[in-house]
Amino acid sequence: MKPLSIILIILSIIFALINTGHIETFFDAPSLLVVIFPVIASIAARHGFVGFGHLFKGGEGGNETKERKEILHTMGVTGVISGVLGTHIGVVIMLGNLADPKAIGPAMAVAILPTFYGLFIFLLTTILSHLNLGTEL
Amino acid sequence: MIVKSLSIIFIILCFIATTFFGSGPMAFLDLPSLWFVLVPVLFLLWVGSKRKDKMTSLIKGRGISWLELVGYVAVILCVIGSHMGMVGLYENFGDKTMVGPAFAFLVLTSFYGILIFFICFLLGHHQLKKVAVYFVLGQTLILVNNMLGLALSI
Repeated sequence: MKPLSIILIILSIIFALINTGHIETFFDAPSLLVVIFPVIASIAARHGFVGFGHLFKGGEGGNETKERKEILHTMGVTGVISGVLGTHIGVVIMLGNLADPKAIGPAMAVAILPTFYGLFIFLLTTILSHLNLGTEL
Repeated sequence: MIVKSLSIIFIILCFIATTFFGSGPMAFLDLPSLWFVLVPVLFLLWVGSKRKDKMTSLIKGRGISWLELVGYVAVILCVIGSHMGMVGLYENFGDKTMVGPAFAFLVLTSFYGILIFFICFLLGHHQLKKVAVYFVLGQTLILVNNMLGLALSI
């Protein structure tokens, strides 16, 4: 049941995005990269290269290993922090071209996206770190 | 240790690379906000270096390490700094010349504080308190709402 619930949560977010009618506004390559790269690099920064191995290795009897829980915590927190930093960078870039007041709205929409991606990563890692995916299906 | 420092440098380079979508990293230098955040943090780091035990090890009877404490101080400073910037922003509402420096202080104290918090998080091996993450997240709302205020004022 538990993997099913994860799929349900992701599907409901995707449906909500489709419902807005402008799904293409939710994709922005620089915003995605400023979140994804720090999240991957933070695993190496805090746990070394062995962290990548621990991330995909289950514990005995389907229990979560302590390392995996810590790595997921690192990933989630890094996602939120780098997302907020990305939003700050976006706002400072916006301040450079304030001359056109009508352009502020669309630029703000793009500037919020890194935080959105970071929160999405935080949601996924929070769910995964409190589930044991090994035993129940 | 090499892996750690290299990946932290890589993360910072990621943020610097993102600034080139605008006018480059020079727009992120602001002396008052740098002073406001960096001086207390450097003082705390200096005090920590005088202590007997290591920065990353737990303080006896406290449950947090010195590095974690520095990170929390940086986050609280960034929240205080952004509120100080807000006061300056709304005091001079409608005056183009005074609004700019106040808003720069608001954004950049918050930016530096979160950056220092992030680096402290990466250097240590502690688990963060959830409150600190909520503080960081709240900065987005502060930024968005004050950007709206700035757009109305000019």
